[in-house]
Amino acid sequence: MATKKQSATKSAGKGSTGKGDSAEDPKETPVKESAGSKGSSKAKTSGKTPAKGAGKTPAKSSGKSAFDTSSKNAKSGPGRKGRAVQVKQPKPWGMILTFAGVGVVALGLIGAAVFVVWDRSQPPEGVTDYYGEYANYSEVSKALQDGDVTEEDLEHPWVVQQTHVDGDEDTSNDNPTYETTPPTGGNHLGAWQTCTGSVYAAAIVDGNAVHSLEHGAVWLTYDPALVDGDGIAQLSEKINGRDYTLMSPYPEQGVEVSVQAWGVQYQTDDLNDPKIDEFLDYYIQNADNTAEANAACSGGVSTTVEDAGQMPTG
Amino acid sequence: MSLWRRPALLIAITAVLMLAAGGAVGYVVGTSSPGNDSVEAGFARDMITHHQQAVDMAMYEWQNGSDETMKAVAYDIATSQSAEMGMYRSWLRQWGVQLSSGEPMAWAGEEHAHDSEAAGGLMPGMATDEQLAEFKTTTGTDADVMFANLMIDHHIGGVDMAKAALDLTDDELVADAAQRTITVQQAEIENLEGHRDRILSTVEN
Repeated sequence: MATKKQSATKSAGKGSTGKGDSAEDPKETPVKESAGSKGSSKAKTSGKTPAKGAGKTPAKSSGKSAFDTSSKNAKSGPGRKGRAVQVKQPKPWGMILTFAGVGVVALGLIGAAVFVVWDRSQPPEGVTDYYGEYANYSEVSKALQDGDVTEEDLEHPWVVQQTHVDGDEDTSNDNPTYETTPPTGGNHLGAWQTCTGSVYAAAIVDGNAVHSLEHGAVWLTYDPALVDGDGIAQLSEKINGRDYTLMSPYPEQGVEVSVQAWGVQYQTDDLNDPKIDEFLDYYIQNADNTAEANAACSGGVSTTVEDAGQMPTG
Repeated sequence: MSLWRRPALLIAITAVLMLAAGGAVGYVVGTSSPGNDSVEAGFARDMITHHQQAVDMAMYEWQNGSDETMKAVAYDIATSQSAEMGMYRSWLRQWGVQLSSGEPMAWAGEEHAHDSEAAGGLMPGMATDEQLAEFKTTTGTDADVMFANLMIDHHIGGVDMAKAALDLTDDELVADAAQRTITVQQAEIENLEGHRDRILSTVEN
């Protein structure tokens, strides 16, 4: 640049008049300026690059980065030493806070959504289920149909046994016995116990009650030796008039209250245990846990063990 | 630290996070609506219970009544209300809410819930256990007439419930079902009255 200028001045001094001189000067200025602006534009680009992340980025971010860095780069002059200069810059706290805030909000929303979806499908805690490695009736019956498991290999094969024991000529097996007390599923009688929020004052026949469980009812039983009249009244309030429930005494069940739906059971010695209500809310007609969905609770029998002339099977 | 020098990367990360958050919220809203305590879920649950009793009574009339037309009405009620119960259950399962609630009529407001509680958990128009037990001792014309009377009260209650739902819901599906319930059951009330009066006049003559 210096040589060019000098030679230009020289030639001007050599070959031209004062007039030429004055014409030469403005000519020189643009040259200078264009050289300067070239340099500064170069500085801009080189300064931009480290901030942008190897210049990969499209136009979107260049506005911001240019905004941030250009004036400083212009000051610091041309060259690729922009990085060293930038270290001295104050941290962009506004940007940090903005992005951090947005990030926290977004993560919070994701977390909340995941929790809601997860919580929606959770059975109440402390419930004993007899589906073994399977989560519920729907899963175990699907595994059976897909041939992933055979009935004999199930931990409790009765969770998928739904035959009417009085459906054959052999009447010796018409009073089925059950693995759990009170029973929680398995083969049963052809008639179900009416379970339209029905409170029975006397013990009912297991085979009928199990059929009600198959229809999606929750059966609440209490040990009459452990629960007094007030307790029975308290429990009746939960059941009376609530469709797809039934309640009856179950002598010698050994625990104050037991609630059972098909394949699941919860027992407690506390009449005020909130889990009783949670169990009712969750398991009544639960789509994944109903062995015969959409079947009715009305139109069943209302017989008691005494009516049926049977001994308790528990 | 150099992350703060890369707005593009930051913007990209934030954009992905916001998209994921939006997607998650959208999923929850899209799959959980209406919620467990909503008018819609409450209405569907209570209509199932209400219908269930109508089906029970109609099945008894179908088996034990004597007037062929009244028995045909009973058949109609038993089959159509059973189908509707299946529809309501499908809604509830699709919405991922409870199929049952310990608080009948709570969705329709304090007053309805209180009436229901006073009636031992029964919804408007439902027959009491005593009435049901009495009905199930009748046969023939007695059954026809008692069925008509119980069913008329039952439908009046059903229409009330549907009107309450129609007032409270914005859900098109639910509003449509409530509207149809009102239309169908009001027509059926008139039919039941007509047939009952016809049967009674035949008996008297």
